[in-house]
Amino acid sequence: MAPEQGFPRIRQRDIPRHAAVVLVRGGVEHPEIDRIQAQDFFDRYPAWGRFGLSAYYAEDDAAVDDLASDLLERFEELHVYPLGILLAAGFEVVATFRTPHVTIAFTDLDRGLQLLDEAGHQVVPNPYHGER
Amino acid sequence: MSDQLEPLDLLVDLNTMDETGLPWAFLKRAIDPARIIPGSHIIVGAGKVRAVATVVDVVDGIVHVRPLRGPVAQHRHLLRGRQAS
Repeated sequence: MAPEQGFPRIRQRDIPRHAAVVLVRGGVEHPEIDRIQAQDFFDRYPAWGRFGLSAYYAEDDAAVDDLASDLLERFEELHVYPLGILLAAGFEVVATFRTPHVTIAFTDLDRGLQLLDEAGHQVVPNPYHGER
Repeated sequence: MSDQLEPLDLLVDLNTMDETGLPWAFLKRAIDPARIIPGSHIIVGAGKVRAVATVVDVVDGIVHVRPLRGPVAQHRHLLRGRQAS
């Protein structure tokens, strides 16, 4: 189904929400980048009314490894957030665009970025980064 | 020169994806929008992250890129109008 103008495409099938699910993002090291991207997402999809940051869900270590070697190969470090921690912090986690992409959505830019920074997560090196 | 020090052509958070399945950015995030031409190769990224990418299209001020695997140095020959380093 085509998305309405001003809305991101939300997949009909939600992501799994069991305790082992994590969200993985490539680390960019500069908080200002997250601010710019969250604002750009808002500006691109204004009818949805949410700031958003991209992440990818994984149900186990093998799925994290797949992300590290493919979609997130470019990143030296990966930030791995337990889904439950982000939901408990008040974020919406929405299945957007193509599997396994999700949008971490929030309505207060400053607060959302602060909460994401404070949310418990692991920072792990990407063993596939820099491979030729 | 390490990839981290390469100047960007276009600020792109390579975490992003949209309906196309590709990373995207607004054209206004380009250092020189005139360089952002479909089919050309440019340096994209954000923060410490760098990649050579193909510009796929520019539509309504939105740029889609397809990053190439491997470090920038591996693809430097694709970057026209840049000084080798």
